[in-house]
Amino acid sequence: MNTEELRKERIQLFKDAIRMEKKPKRIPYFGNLWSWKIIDAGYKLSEALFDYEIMQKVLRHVFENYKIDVLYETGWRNPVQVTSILGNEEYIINDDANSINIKDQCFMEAEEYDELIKNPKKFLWEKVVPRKNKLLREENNSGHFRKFLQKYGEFGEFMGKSSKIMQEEYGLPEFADPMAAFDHWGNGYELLFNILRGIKGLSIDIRRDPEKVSAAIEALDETFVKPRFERGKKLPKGSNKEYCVDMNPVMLGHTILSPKQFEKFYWPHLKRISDFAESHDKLVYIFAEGESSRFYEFFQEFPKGHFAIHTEQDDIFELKKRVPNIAVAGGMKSTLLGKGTPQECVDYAKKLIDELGSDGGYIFSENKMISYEQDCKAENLKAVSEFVSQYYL
Amino acid sequence: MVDLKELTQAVGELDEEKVTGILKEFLKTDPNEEDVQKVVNACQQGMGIVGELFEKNEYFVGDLIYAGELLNGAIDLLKPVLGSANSEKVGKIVLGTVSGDLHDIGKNIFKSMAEAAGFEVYDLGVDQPASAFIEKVKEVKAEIVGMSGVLTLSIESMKNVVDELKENGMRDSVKVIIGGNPVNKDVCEFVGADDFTINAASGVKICQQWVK
Repeated sequence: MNTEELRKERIQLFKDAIRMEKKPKRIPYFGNLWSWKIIDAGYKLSEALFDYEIMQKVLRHVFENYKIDVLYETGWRNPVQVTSILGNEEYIINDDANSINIKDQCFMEAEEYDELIKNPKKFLWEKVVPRKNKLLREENNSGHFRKFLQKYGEFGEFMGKSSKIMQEEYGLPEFADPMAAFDHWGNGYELLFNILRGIKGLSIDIRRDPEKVSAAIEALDETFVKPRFERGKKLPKGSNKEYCVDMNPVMLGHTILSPKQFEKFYWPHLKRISDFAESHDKLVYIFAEGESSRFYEFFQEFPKGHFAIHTEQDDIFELKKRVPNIAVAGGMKSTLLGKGTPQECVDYAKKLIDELGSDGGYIFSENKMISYEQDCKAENLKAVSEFVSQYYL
Repeated sequence: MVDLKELTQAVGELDEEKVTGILKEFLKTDPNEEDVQKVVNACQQGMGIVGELFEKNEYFVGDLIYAGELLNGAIDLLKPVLGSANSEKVGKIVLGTVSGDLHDIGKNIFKSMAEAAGFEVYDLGVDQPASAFIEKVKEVKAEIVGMSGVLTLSIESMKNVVDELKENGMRDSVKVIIGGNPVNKDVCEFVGADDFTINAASGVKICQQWVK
């Protein structure tokens, strides 16, 4: 099989897994490998993050050593070369500890809701962007902005080259359309949680002034989300053959919510995605951080054969049982990959596939984002990926 | 004197307006030390209710964060009269986010709740090496070490602290609790901690049992 055929087959494996219409040829492996791969390839974090050629060597190292079907993170997660040029200091890299931290972000005060609601674009551009990027607060900032555009262009070029290497040399597909990144990620609630108010601020606002939070979500969604759905509705029906999935929302901010709050602040967005996926026959892969079992009643409303949920901390067997309408992804424990033996890891991988994959509704992956040295031993990942690529139900 | 039961209930229900109202009325009465202590105890009991509701899955992480904020607000209000209240401390906790990790929201909630429960908390801050924990435990003769972390790399750092406690012959004289997103029973065993928690309220409860 040549690399193009391999790429197409891999895309189909993911689509079949989510459709759950037939017994799959084999279970696809979604490589949930993040900054760990830099250390595994023998580099320091800052070496790879500040040098695209080294990052490409890191990617090749992964493709050549581990038999995965998708590498989700291909060097886009921590674009420090682009962000640092504007004085953004949110990434903190410690090469001695091989660690990267991202500062909790809160670029809006509680008193500023009305201003945000009145004109979200103006507020983000005039208030949030300069707060996030200190060099843009200077009066003559056009020089910084020009440098930013140049760095942004270089980043785009790197992403394009990496994608070409991945697809043409190794036969791995893009998981979802990289040009539509914001389409996958953004919604009003997550913007409030991740950037504008932060986990603490939003937790407090939801209790102190829930109606204002609702109004802000509505304003942000009207401005940034709904127009994208309108554009999406003009696209041909059916799943895009070039990518494994069509939409890839990341759920982070649900972790602080009760089911009642979820219904009010989060579910409207997911319902919009759900209706769109059903009416336009699209495939959706949700990464859900933390533990989500209190929201299963909502997930049960997703149309069958359109959704996969990658759980970080849920009991994946229970998720599969209680939400049979969706495919599940994840399950391979990072604690086992980091501390177990290859045989223990392979035994657990077999259990996951046997118990979760018989109807096709399972995508193999690490439960957590594999980020730090101790999250995974190379020999374990090698054994597991070899096993998954060879194991037929 | 204010209605203490009503205050406890208002804290438990996270009714910030009511709590603030009661405390402002209380401050107008020019309270004596004994009454201040009773009011602080009532707030502590309210936090106990918050913890119980969290364990029953009626409250969630956002509620715990809000409870921490409410409690800080209440203590701030009481500060002018707290100085005169010579409350008895139930124990000493050396607390910190371990090396490599900069997250502190969970740690700070635990701190607020532990202080409200009468502990003397020595907060080292974030990204703290094992040596910082050891030195502080020696210095203040703490009964409990509390370690917090969100990133998976914090597990190794937590283990280093326990190993250092052992090497310094201090492991048997302190109880160790770990908290945060990546901890569970297996991690607790690996680290060599005495107990673990993923919520601040139950963490405080565990500490209370240790110093009984």
